[in-house]
Amino acid sequence: MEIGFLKPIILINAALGGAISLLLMHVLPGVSFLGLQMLLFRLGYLSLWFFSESVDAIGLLMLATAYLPAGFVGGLFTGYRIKENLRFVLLIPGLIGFVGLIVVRYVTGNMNLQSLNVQLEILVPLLGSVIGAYLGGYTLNWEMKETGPLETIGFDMSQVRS
Amino acid sequence: MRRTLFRIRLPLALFLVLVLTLTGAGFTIFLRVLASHAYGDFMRLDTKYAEVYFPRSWIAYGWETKNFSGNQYVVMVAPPAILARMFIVIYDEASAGGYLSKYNLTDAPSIVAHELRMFQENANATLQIVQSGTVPLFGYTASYSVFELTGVLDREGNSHNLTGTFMSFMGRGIIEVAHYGSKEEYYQVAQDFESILNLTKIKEGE
Repeated sequence: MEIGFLKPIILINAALGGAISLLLMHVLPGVSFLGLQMLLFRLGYLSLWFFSESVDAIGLLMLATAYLPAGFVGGLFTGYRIKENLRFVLLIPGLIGFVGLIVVRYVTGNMNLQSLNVQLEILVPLLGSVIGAYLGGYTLNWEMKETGPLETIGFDMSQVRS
Repeated sequence: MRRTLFRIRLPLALFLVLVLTLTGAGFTIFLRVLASHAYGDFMRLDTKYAEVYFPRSWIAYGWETKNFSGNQYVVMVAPPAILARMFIVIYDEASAGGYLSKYNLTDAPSIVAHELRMFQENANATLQIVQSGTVPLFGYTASYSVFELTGVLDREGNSHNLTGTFMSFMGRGIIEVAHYGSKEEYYQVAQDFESILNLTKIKEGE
C-alpha cells in the first residue's frame, strides 16, 4: 500500500526512528532528573528544586538534556535511511516518540490525567521530540558546500563585430 | 542560504545552540530563585500562613488541604539522605474548630497526646514519652512531648527506632510542629531543627 510518497520502506524507517526516539525519551528524562538533582545536592542547593518557580527551570533543562537529544537521535536514524520528502517524513519519528511516551507512561501508571502537568508532561516532550527529529534528520541531509561567488567570464571586445 | 554555522552543519549547530541556550536559561532561572529566596545559609519558603526558613541543602515543600470545613496548611522540611523530618501543620480557625470537636479535644496538651497516639497507631510501634512540658514557640507557649517510637517499619520492612518532639499551641487556629528521626541520625540535625523553629514566622491572624 502506498499513499503518495509514503512508501512502506519509508514508513518502516520513520517508525524505527520513532522507536529509537521513544526508547531514549523513556530513559533519558530519568537520568537527567537524577543527574540534575545530584548536581544541586553536590552544590548544596537541593532546596532550589522544590520551589514552585523552579518548574520552568526544570522544564527547560529536561528539554535540553533529555527530550531534544532523544528526538535528535531518532531523527538522525530516519535522516540516514531516508533522503526525500524529509519535511513530512521527519514528523513521523517525532510524533511516534511523543505519542508512544504518553501511552507508555499512562499504561505503566506514571501519568495521572487528573493531576497532569501540561507543561512538563505534554508540551516539553512534544517540542523536544518534534524539533529534535527535524534537526537530527536534516543534519545528515544538509549540503555543506557553500555557493561560491559567480565566475567572471573574460570578454574580448576586439572580437565583437559591429 | 547559509549552510554552516561555526563550520558545523546548520541543523547540528542549531541543535547545539538550542541545548546550550536552554541549559543556560534553566540555570539562570535557578539563580533567580536562589536570589529571591536566599537568607544567609537558609532559604525562605514564603506561604500564605507562614514564612519558613530552612538550610539551603534541605528539601522543603508545602501544601494546603481542605479539612473540617476549613483549611489546613502543611510544610515538610527534611535533610537529604538522613532519616529525619519536620512537619509544621497550621489549622485555620474553621479547621481547628472541626478538628477539636471531632476528636473531643480541649487544649494543647490533649492535642499532643492525641497526635502521638495516632502516630503510634499508624506506625504500629511502641510509644514511650520521655519528657513533657511547655516551651516558647513562635511567641506562644506550646505544650510538647519528647517521644521514642520503637519498631517502626519502613516500606522495605526494615525496623527503625524513632525519636522526636511534638509541639502544639492554640492561637486563632492550631499550630502543630513535629520533628523526628531515626535515633542515630536525629541528633545530627537537632540543632538545624532548632534554627528552623527560631527563624520561622507564623503569619498574623493564624
